[in-house]
Amino acid sequence: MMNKKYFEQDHLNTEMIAYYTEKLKSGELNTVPGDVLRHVEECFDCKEAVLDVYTMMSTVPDMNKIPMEIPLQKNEMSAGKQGVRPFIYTLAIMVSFIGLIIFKQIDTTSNQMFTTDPMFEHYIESTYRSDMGLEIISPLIGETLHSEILSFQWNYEGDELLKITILNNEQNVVITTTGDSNGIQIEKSLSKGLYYWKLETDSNLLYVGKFIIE
Amino acid sequence: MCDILKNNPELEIKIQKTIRLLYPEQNFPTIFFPTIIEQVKTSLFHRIQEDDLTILLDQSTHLEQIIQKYCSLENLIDQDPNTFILIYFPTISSYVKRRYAYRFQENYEDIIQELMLVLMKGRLQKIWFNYTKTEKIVEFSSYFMVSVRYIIANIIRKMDSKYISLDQQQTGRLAADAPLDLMQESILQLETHRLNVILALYHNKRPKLELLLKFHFKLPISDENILKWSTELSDEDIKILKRDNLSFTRKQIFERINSVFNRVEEKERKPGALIRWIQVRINELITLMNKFHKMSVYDSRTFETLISLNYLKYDLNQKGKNDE
Repeated sequence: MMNKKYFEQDHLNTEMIAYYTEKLKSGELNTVPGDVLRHVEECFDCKEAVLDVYTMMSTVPDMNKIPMEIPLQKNEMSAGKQGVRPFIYTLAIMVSFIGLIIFKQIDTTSNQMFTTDPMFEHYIESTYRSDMGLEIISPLIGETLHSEILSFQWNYEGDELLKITILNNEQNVVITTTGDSNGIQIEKSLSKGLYYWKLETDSNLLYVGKFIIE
Repeated sequence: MCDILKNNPELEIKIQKTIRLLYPEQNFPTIFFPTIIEQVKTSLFHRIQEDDLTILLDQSTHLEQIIQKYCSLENLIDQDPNTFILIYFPTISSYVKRRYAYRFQENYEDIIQELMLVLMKGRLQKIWFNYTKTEKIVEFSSYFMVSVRYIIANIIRKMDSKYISLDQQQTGRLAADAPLDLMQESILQLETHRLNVILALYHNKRPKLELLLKFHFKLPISDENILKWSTELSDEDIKILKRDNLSFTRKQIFERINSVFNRVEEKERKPGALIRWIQVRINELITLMNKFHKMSVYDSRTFETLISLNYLKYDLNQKGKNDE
């Protein structure tokens, strides 16, 4: 007998879509009620809903591309919306004002050299092959490096040669070399900006991190 | 606010710490909500009453209560919904852009605009009200995101018919709009990760799905594939399933394996039913994989490449582990 409290109009209800998505993200699908699991197995709409919410909860926003105000500049608003327009403009002004304060910190990184790259940002989230015997010690994600000697430290228990590649925020390779099982020090003066670095073996991408040069 | 805090860094730290307790990293991770503390703090100083401000500045033991009074999630939604919407704006707009920018061109911003209007016109409070009626087994963020998705779906339904017809044209169309270079290791890694997220949604059906995918694309069948699907097979059944597929047509393969599937599932289906079952699932998988992209990048051919590479990689890893 199907438990009706999980469903609404023949599909999972809001709470269950959220619950399923949280469990999918944490790798705990086995704790989801059997009725719910079976329904998702069969239902394309619910699969789609779960994936959408999963994507929403996994999309790292690009802070440098966020508008300072909620975009309300369009003129196509219907007559029915006119009543709220003054409120919206007030909100937009208020948001701009708050935005100026809030994004004060971000202003320092607002030039192009510090713009984040969405693809690499995703990898930072999704790529860490600890199962391949790799532990990253430094730099931490987003750490600022000042010295002209760039120090990368890790513990790698595997046998394969590790290739380290440093790229700028436009995905251009600036340094590529190999490291041993403990890390590498690179003597190179990099210009100010945001950089990504990745560790690979011949067959696997093991890690993606980022650091800032100021 | 700036002046008050500039002269009192200790107070600022206390306020930030207290807000962080209200919005813990576990539920509001910095990576998704990098400015949440600043936003809530700004909202606090916009709304705080004079008496409460005095208590706050005294840094008395009541400081936490005052912050709780103004900054709890419930209070923020009720008293300052605009700040709440602003907190979620980056995540929502990134999602809408990725999902709809290709389909609606520059008009995708209309969706965001309309969504904000709907939320501001009382829907946010309604979502919160509905959430409080649940058993709260999920975070409000997840519940809110599901609700936002419903609102977006309604907005799209109401949009001009020209967009709807475009949408209809795209639904069910499996031709790719853009190429995808799966030979790049980094792209392949991301795409196989996504594929496995989708395969997880099939849960108990996953072993059957993966086995039939391999038959469909004529990939080698391992013992692991078979045992995950059924542990009650005879040696003869296993022999039938593991026979080399490359020299047979797809129809011949499915005719051969159909009897085994019928035995395990206690059904009396014709091979065509099994072929249709996997074909429907492949179409589903292609559609779902394309959802991760701004435009369709998967068609039957690209999908076959992804499946082949995914299992090739997995089998090689397994072989490596076994050799050790």
